[in-house]
Amino acid sequence: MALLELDNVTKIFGGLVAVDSLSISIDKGMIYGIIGPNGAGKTTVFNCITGVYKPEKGKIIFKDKDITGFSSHKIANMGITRTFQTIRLFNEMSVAENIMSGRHFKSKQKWWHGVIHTPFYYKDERENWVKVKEYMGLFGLTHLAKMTAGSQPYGIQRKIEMARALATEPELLILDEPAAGLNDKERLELVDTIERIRDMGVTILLIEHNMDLVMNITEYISVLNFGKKIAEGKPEDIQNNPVVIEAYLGKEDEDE
Amino acid sequence: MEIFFQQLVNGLTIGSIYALVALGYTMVYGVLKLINFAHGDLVALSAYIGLVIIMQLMGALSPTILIIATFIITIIITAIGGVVLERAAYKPLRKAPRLSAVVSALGASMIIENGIMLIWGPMPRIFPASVVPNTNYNIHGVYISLMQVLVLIISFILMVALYLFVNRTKLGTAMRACAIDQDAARLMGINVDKVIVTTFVIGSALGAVGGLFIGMYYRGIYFNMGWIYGLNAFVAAIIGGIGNIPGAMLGGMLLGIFNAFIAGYVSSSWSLALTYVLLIVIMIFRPTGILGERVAEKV
Amino acid sequence: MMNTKNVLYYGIFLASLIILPFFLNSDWVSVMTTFLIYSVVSLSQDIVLGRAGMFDMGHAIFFGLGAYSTAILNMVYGWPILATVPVAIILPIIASVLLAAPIIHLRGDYLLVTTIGFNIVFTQALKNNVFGITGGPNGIFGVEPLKIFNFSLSSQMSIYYLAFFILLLTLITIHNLETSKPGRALHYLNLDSLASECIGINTRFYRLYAFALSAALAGLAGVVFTLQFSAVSPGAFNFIQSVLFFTIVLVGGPSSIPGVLLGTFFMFVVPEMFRQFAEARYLVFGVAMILIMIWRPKGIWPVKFGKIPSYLTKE
Repeated sequence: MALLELDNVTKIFGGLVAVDSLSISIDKGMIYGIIGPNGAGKTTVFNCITGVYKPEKGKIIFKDKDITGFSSHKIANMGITRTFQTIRLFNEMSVAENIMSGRHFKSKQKWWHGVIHTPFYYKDERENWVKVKEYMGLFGLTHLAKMTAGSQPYGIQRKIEMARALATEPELLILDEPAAGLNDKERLELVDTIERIRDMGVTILLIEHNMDLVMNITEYISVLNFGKKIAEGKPEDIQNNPVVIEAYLGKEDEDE
Repeated sequence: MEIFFQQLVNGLTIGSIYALVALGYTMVYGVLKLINFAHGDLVALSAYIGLVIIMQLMGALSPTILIIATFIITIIITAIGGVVLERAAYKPLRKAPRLSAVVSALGASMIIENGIMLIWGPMPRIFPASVVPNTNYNIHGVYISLMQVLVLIISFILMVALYLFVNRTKLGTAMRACAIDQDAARLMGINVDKVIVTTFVIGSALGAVGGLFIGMYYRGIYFNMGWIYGLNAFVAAIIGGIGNIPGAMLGGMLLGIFNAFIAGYVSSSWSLALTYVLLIVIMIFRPTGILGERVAEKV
Repeated sequence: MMNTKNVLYYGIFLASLIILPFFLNSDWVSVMTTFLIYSVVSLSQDIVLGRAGMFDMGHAIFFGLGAYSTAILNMVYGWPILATVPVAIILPIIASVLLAAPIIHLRGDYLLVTTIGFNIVFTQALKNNVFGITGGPNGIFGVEPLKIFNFSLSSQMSIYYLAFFILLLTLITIHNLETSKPGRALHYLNLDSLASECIGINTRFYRLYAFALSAALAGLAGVVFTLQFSAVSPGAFNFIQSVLFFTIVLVGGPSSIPGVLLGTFFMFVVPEMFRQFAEARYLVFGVAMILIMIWRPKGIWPVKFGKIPSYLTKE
């Protein structure tokens, strides 16, 4: 059964149809890829799912619940978190504090704990920092805990962002071009990390330009062009689909 | 009905002055995205400079020449002041956090304001009555003074000239380009620094005209008047849509008329408060002002 | 998460504040009392401006609401001072939420301008003697001293220590805020509001939270301010005062407790030291403000992040 379902989702920006009646269905536990040429509307789809944009038409259903038009934080608290194409960390803060931000909803502190510290506060605070420690360990960031996030190299920043998203304990993790700007070694590490996250029971939806990575890692792919889905299927089917080759792969070759 | 037209004329006069000062705020905001808090004080300074020139030259020149000379000299000095302000207080902070520039602007405002007070004293100074002849025209019971006519005509000419400059000249186009995207403008070969200096020159020059009008129209000037005229003009710029040049003109006029009608029909003691109530209402319902456009954040 | 070095520094700072009045004449005790009160207001302003990153240039409203609540309830309705304290805290909270709710979504400069607008409307209302209880442009005189068990705190010294107590309370509150989930949420939404939303932070709630908490502290400071002068007047809460608090935070160092305390000292006490130079000092001050921002754009004592529990980095 589907964890996330998009039903005829349409998003229009001042007359330009960025996403055109898109329907996709993502099963629990899978790694799902969305690919397409630049400007095909992939990130817009992500923004609609995570409540950054409100679609003009269509429904977004998560765990049988209509979440269309919900605010971003509500959607995050229901179990969908994301990373961004241009990394968005809390640059001035430390790596540990960045990951701690992912614990916000799971932490059960109330508003008055910002004024008075009760015994419950100390217990809750410790529990969540211990969780942060776990996630830092998982991504190999422990030695950087006190370092400023913004001054880390690109590859590390990607890891911090994923650790932060994962710290919310999501059911669906959305990755917007996770391999962008990574070198070969880092890319291999990324494949490994994504698979490990999946093995933790987290469903993954990703946009990626790097074809090797997408074909390698995803179990199912939708191809977007001009906001419309032009094909879907298993990676090997997509690779051999003439419509896709014409719209996307062919064009990609010209670029290189 | 006579009260209505009388207040309309008064409102348009004040509105023109607000508009002239508002243009300085809006142009700087457009290019630098900075609230130039010192602009109002520069306007106040120009009124004092104008007064000094008038007192020195009165009697030596014929009234018409005296007025023209006062305007020209004051405009030049104030424009230089604007450029010095930009070089000293804003340029070193272009890469700094936005709020640092705000504090720097407030510091500059303090310098000018207290500088005026140290030179000319804390008591109000009065412009001589005879600079502009006190002629009044009576049109069906509505009085218009020669000064009001001058304010309206000169402001109108200046605004049309500014509009043509911004829309028809190369430098004006560069200015608009910088307002939209400074980095892109730089990559296209536009000398951004030159545009910024031009912006301060024009903004300060228009402010100087506004300051002289305040002195000649209201006659009483005081060292900290920059704050209140500046704030009102700034509100005008926001009502029109900050960063938008026709918006500042429109906003100035609307605010002037609004003020005049409040003073005429409600009560002058609530005029200031109601001006800011208007500002708050606009901020809540249309934060980008009447002519401003909404900008979406790129994710 | 205070380490021993910090505990020591704060200990020295607080101890010197305790013994300070014994070395000062009454004029300077009065200046230092105001310094303590302004420190509380500036630290509260910092919650909104430094931590949550909202350009609030109308903070004197909440300070003034606290001060006027005490003065009015005491002088017009005859309440004892102690009974006015809860009102002087709750009223600013309510006002802050009502004023901020429609505008907190605004971008930086727009918020700044709107809060200036609120402040001007507030002082104009006080001057125009709204509801006939604010005393108009002259304000209210002759407010009673605070009485606790028949003991009247009317001497300059007792007010100093009252202000000291309020500052201590504020420091504890802000330390607790800093090391808690709500306090961190303020930093997150300040640094990247969209990213915060997408990891589940209700940014709107926490923005209002910042306003409410800071208004409460400012209101409390207002009570002591009224007691110090036995009077209130609109001029003490006009928007120029808000500009002062705003500047204190930025000059000192946003989100940094020592920074804000230093900022208050620099912007309020230092000018008092140069009183003999009369108004010329403000000219020098303007120059200093510009130079500090060029030299240290993040304030004299910038905030340091990364105060995390030590067990995180240990195996």
